[in-house]
Amino acid sequence: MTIHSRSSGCLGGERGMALPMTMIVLTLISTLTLAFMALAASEPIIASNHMASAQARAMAESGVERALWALSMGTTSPSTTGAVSDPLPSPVPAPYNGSQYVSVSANGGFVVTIANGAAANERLITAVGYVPNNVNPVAIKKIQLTATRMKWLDPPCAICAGGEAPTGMSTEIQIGGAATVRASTASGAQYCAGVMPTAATMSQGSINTNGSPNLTAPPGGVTQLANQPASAFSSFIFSDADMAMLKEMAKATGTYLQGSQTFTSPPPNGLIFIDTPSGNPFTASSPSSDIIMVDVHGNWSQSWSGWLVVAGSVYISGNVTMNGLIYAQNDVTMDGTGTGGVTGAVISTNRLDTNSTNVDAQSIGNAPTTYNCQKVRDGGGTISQRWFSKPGTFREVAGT
Amino acid sequence: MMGQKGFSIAELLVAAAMTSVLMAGAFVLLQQGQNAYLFGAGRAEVQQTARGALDRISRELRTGSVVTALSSSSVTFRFVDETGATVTVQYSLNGTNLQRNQTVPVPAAAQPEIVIGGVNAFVLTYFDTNNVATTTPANVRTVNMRLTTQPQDATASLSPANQRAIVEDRVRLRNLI
Repeated sequence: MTIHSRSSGCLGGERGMALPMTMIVLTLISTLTLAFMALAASEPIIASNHMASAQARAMAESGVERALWALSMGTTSPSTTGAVSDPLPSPVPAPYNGSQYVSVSANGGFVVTIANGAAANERLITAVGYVPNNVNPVAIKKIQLTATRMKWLDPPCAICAGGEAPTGMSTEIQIGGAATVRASTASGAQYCAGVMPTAATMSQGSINTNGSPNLTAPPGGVTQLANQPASAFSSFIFSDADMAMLKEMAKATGTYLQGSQTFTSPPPNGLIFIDTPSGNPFTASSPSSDIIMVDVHGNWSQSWSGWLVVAGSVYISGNVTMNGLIYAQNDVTMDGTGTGGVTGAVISTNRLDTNSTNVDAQSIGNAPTTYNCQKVRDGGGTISQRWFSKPGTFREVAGT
Repeated sequence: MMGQKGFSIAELLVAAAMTSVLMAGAFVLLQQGQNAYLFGAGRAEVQQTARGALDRISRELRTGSVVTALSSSSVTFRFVDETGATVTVQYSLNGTNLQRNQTVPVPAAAQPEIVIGGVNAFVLTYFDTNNVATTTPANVRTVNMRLTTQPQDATASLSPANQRAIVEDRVRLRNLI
């Protein structure tokens, strides 16, 4: 009896201690477990959403690349399956009209549209990336950009002067001696499909000759087309925005130069951009320190192909062979001799109009110039015709 | 009766020992649970802040048009926002805060703003068009970012919450030739 009573008393006290302790410990552990489970559940979701977002962006960029490829093929190889021709057809073929979802992988795909841009060499591309698909997407990203290719000037003349002459200043082309300017196919000129030049020489002001220059006119055209309005030149002139882009491209390829230059041997093929010493656009009010002359002369054993773009004047003499485009924002003087010459076109816009454009004015050479539209477009095969994202236009936008 | 009201020394010692063992077990269990929680929470915090910050910088750098100034821990660049406007912004490390300072257009909010705190390191390297490292801003075409984060609140170095996360990303500026 004694033992039983004592045991009953002790057991009653122990029961009261164990239960609260167990409950407290269990509560604490349960709280921690629940918090940990919440973390463990939300973290993978956040990480998964982040990954889906990155994948959707990659899908949208895939759509952009696909559109750029189609546009490039349309320019360089129009018969390629899937190419989008240049100019843009109407209606735009699928999937580039946004009507089809293009599956890239099990992870997702894109919808892409191509539309005409503000200029003939611009297209607006909108690509939307979906993950894992466009029916029940968990992530959507949209990219917009303007695609462009190198501007086709397609000048209507082998030698063109003017278009940017300051008000009150005259533009003049002086042709003399035995200068040769060929704009007929019979004399070696070549035209692009659908593009017919109108003259061998074209000026915003006068065209004067001395001696006996040999000028051949294109079919239905003339040898000299003088006193043309500035607007007649606007389609084959580089704007300041064009010049800025060409400058950046030349910088990227290491062919950007500043200040007056002399080339006694062929420079690297491709785009050569020669800028003012300050790097500012060349204008009629540019300081004298920004007025430059690029001197090309010598007796070259090899030819040069590309675009020579100068924010100033160009002087070409000697026996040099150049294929492509000679573009000067001021004047061009040519006194070439020998078997060399320019095949493509020569354009001077006369922004300052110091001398206008002279072609063998001093009768010291034949300065042959032969119109070739394709070489103007692609710099004799050295200027890429592929479409690319126009700098400053690539952006991510909201929406689907 | 008197014997029934008290406990012997031996009984008390046994009870105390058993209680101690139980308490120690419970403490260990609780501490392990708490450590696991602190570890997970710390890890989640540093990963989330690093991921969020790097995502924001890389999104803006991706639409960048030019880098105007740079160092190994700060970069100033212009980018095109979703409206097509050009924005000038600088990301830099100030103490343990990663700062964003937008200068053009001037935003309504005070600048610079703190993107995240608890940054242990923010290391930037730059590459040109040939993927060669460069320190000339005009030549930068690609930016490599390496961000190391730690908990924003001070924690003991041996605490399970004292985590580090290192995230790295390399972005090509899309609005450059």
